[in-house]
Amino acid sequence: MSFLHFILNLILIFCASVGFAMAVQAPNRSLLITGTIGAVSYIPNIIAATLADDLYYGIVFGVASVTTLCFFAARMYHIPAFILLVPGLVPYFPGQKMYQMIMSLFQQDVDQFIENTSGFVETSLCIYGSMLIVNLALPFIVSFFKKIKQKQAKNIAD
Amino acid sequence: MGQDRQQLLLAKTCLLASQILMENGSELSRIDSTVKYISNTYSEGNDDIDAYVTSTLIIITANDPMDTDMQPLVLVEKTSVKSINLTKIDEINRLSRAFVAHELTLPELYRALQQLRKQNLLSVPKATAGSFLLSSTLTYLGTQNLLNSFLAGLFGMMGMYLVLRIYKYLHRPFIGELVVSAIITICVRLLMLMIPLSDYNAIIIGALFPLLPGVQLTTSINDIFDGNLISGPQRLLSAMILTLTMVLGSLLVYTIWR
Repeated sequence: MSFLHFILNLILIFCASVGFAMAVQAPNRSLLITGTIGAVSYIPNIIAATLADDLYYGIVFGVASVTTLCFFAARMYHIPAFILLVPGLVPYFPGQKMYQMIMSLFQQDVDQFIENTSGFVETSLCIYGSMLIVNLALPFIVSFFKKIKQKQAKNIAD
Repeated sequence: MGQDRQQLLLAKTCLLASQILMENGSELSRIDSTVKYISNTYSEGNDDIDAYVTSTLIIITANDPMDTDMQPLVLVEKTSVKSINLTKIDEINRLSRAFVAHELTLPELYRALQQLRKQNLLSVPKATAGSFLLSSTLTYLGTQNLLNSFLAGLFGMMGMYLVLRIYKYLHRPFIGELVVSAIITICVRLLMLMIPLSDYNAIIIGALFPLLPGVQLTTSINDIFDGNLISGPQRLLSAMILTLTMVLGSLLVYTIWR
């Protein structure tokens, strides 16, 4: 993938995240933040997908980065994390897979149906598994770093 | 008596906040935490306020643990997810923070919530512009074709506008998406008679991106992982039915066209 192509994809994902945020009536002050989160998440996505040669690893790392960035951005900007998370995840939503899954079912194309269903289920598991792990781990990581800072401050005071 | 009135106002405030959040697509954990913040701020833990929320019903119970003779207060309200409006969710967050910081009294919070519920914070130009941006960019990412992405954006914008208008007049879920997916498929098929289109399926799917239930899927899975095994599967079912209606709309046109 060329550098220009990479930059173009970043811009497109930024625009897609902002577009979705506008479509679901996100507050205007969150549009830039959500677009940035969506675009930045593309970097670990593409790195993981290229190194592992598997799309699903990219989804896991992309979603993990979106969830992490939303966690910190919510606290910095006093915006509910949900408002930043939903548009940031738009490149990863399996809505299209679900549509194709149901379409192939009605067209009685069994092979396509199985392929689309497995794609939908695998994508969903990657997204929600990644979100769950990050949501469980982040509070512990943050409190761990807070304890270290408190110890350092105490040592300096002593 | 005065205390009963205050407790009733507290319960009604929690109920109204829960209703607005649920109607605008919020996840259940946010509703639970908002109710807890409001009740803990007001009663400083003296009143026991609990919320039981599903996609169609909200039950608020209020009880004073110190007063054993008092009958618990129970408020029940029907609800449904009307639309996804993150601005209203943000407003509730702002109001509840202001209340927790003692910048608002309970009656002021209640009045503000009543006004917020009546307000129409839906901006049709914003929604349609967002749909164009979303449909065109995601279609370009998938097809690398400018014409396809432009057409997908155009039809996505038209689809979002029509869905909002149909819902405004009918107030029924799913019908708008069924009609719009059929209209988009017809438009694409008619256009194919005039211009050769390389990947018409990608244009249809791209145009339907803004209507696909990504938010409902996310909130349903969040709810299931939070242990809400009634509302989580309800929302998941609603998301699947929504997708099914969109597919049916397209299939109807394909079948008749053949």
